[in-house]
Amino acid sequence: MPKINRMKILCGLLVLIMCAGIILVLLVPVFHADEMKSYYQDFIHHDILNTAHIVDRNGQDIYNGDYAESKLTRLATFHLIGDDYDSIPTSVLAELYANTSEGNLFQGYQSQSEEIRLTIDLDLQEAAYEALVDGGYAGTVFVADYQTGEILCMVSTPSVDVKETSENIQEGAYLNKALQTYAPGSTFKAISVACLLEKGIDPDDLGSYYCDGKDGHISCTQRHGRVNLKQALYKSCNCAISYYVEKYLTADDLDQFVRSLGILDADLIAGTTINEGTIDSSDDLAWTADGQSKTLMSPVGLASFYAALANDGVYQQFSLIQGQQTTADALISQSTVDYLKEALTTGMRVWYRSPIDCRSFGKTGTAELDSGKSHAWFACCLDDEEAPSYVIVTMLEKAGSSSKAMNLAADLINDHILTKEASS
Amino acid sequence: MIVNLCLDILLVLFIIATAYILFQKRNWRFGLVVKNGETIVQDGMQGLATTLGRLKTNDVHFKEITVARKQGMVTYRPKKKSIEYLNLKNGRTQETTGEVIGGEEVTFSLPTNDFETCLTYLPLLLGEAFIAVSGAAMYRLTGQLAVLGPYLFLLIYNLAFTLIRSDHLPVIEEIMTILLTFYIEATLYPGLNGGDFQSCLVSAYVGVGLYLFFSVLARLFLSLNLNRFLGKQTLWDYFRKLAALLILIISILNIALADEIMGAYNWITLFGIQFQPSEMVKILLLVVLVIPDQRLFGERKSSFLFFGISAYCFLYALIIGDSGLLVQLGVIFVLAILIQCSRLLLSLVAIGLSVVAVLILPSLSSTAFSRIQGWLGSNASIWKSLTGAGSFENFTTYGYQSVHALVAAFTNGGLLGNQSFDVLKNITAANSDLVMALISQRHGSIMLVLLLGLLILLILAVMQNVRQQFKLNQTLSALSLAAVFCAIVLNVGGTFSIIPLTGVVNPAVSAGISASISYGTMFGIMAHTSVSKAYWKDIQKWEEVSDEIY
Repeated sequence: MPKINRMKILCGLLVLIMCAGIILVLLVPVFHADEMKSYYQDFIHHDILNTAHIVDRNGQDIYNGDYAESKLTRLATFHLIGDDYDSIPTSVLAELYANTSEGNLFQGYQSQSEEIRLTIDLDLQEAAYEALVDGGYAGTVFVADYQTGEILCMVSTPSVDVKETSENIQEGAYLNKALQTYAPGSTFKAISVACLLEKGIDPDDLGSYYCDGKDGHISCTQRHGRVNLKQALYKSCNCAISYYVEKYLTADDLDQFVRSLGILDADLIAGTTINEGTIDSSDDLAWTADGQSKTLMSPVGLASFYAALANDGVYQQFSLIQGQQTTADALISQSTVDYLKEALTTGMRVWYRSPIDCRSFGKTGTAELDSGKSHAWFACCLDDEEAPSYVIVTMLEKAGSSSKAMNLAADLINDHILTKEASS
Repeated sequence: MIVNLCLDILLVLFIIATAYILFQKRNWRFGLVVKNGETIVQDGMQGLATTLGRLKTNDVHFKEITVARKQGMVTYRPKKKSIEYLNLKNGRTQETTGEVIGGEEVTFSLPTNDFETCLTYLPLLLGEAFIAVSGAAMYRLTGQLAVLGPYLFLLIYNLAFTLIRSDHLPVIEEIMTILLTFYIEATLYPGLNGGDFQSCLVSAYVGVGLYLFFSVLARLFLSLNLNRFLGKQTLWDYFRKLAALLILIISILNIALADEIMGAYNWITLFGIQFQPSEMVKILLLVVLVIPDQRLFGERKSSFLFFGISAYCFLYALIIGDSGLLVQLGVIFVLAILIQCSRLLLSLVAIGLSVVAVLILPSLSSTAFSRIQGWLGSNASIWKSLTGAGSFENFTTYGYQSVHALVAAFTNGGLLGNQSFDVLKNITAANSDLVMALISQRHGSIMLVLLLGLLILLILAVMQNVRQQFKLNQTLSALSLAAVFCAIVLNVGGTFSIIPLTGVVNPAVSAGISASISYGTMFGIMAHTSVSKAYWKDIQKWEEVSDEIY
């Protein structure tokens, strides 16, 4: 066979091999599409971890391609930022990954290294964390601006140091307690009273109630004597509140009202899904009115109601990232707002003896558990022209007396929030 | 994405236009029209030389027993504008238009050129547009005017050979320069990822310069009359011996001085520059393996050099632990025998030995063994391994690079590329061994398929181009094509897990300066024609002479 014919055959073979090769190359991604997609998701995840730049409202680095050098910062922001394993589904990193598009047929994932500016004040966050740890508490501190909805502090203990994997992890460390639901205790009484007022009940028509410490299966920690509705609220009289609610409301009334407020919803923080609260007054309307029974609410949910109180009845949706689009909902009428604010402000002055160094209103709560222990709650709003417009909720798991939650919040407000405001 | 779409469109149009023109040229009669009683018209594919003799490997075959196995060779001499007949029995050359061979009268006439197309310059325009758009995109990405330099070299190179070539159709040159645009990108890649950009830019200039320089040098070298006798040996014989000597020197230096990288002793560092001596050995072996036209395959001296140096090169590849080099050398060796040897037995023995070598290779090289094991995985069927199952199974070990390459090329790159997210950022050899995955990631899988299609076009273009070459150059072209093709198959196949990874780079695409010498030379060999533009000016006069002969 002439040499040239051999070359022609050779070239023909090369063309065939090339065509077969192209087909095989294109078959590989077809056969392994699922595996490749799974690996791609991992690579994207790593890229997000490597390129994310998260700062607080003042530009302080919280995360910049890696976790902060400071252990305190890592611990204080663990539930906000999350870790490499998406242990905190509601964290910023996890949300970043969940909201990332993998691209389409024409083009893959678009890597971005934009700065994410949180609404968090890192100094306040770290101070709140230290306060919880110094007190030996497992709980949460939630601080937000009730006019703008910006969250300034959302800390939870116990926490996890993502860089110290050898340390023992305490029970509940991976839960962001601000987003978990608990029985709200007496902090719920404000909501029960709001329901009465929104139903059209004139508090002046209610008269007074005499509390001797026990009414049926409802009991108080002390005898409150003769109280009106306002006094019943700020003195936290279980018997009076449950009496009024049982007399003028049905279980459905209370349940529907609470649900209509939206404070049990999962979208209280823009861009994040939190645990939904529950309410079912059908079994025991009386105790439900006092914040016990089957009612479960998150500290964020409670904060949303108190924030609305401070904001003329309008709940401005909370946000964690600056510039996020939020919504505003009118929850309760101005008259109800005025009544409740007056009651709770009086309570802060008279009952709690002004623990906070500025005009404020708030309520404590002790949510009793079947085990005999109690969660300690405190919810308040700063209502002073000289003070920032903040709502603060503290919840200490199984801490017992609600005064612990109140004292912790008061110290934080007096030593950090008001001091910073004064210095600025 | 828009830029990638533009590049895809330009490349598609280039491939279509070039394929159409090559198809139109297939009947282009360039070569001798030989009459032998009855008209026997050669199709011109035999090139500028036509061999005559009793051996079936000759272009014109004679059955008469008095005719020698290799009786003679008729050659066009474009520079001398003459037809020469070389009588291989007595070694004499004379200008003639006919001979009596085996009692038959054989006449030689002139080539005809009936090829006309208005589309001749279309591949040039499209190819230049592709290079220009690539350059503009790189400038936009980097903001540095200096990056345009290598692209300018490519544009000038194509323009120059459009003028020089007789057919004004620099297809192989265009293909090489299109591939070199990706070479520039691959070389600049570390700089684009935060490395020393200036150093990468210098490498790009040097690499492109070397590719173009050696391709031109190869063409100049082939312009010499390599079959001219100097004493008893031809000029080519001397070059073969020189190449063999250089192989010995380079291999000894390599073994003595090389650093070990990833199991292979394939790199030498001289004056701070790393390069692979084995790349030089490839092109030198190519020279040794091409037997001069008038030599019989099997002559003692030619055979000793052929088989001796080949065996030495295989041993060298084994010692330095480069399994990819061993495979490439083996392919060139086998094809050199198949193309040039008329003895069936020898051809079969060569193929058999090669198969045996491939089978025993894993036991000789632990690196090759582990790679083959990794590629196979635990699959019972070879089909699953051919489609990447082994790599996915061994993701954390053998398959780490390949899986990243596949995800980068298809999932991340999509159809039109993704320059925003780099899956290959921290992967070893992303811009050399895995360069096709990098291209697919940055430009899309459409571009990947088009580049592979471009290589099919290269094969067809080389086959067309041999018409304008002498026999020796034809063999050189075929073996160069085989070497380039083998490298591409090993590189692309390994990257996408069709075959085990061998660490072979992609010619004219992978970053690296060492390969530019060998592959630049090979592209120059493939693109060379022995016919210049001046030749065609006299074609009309020659046709008149042809009429007189007939």
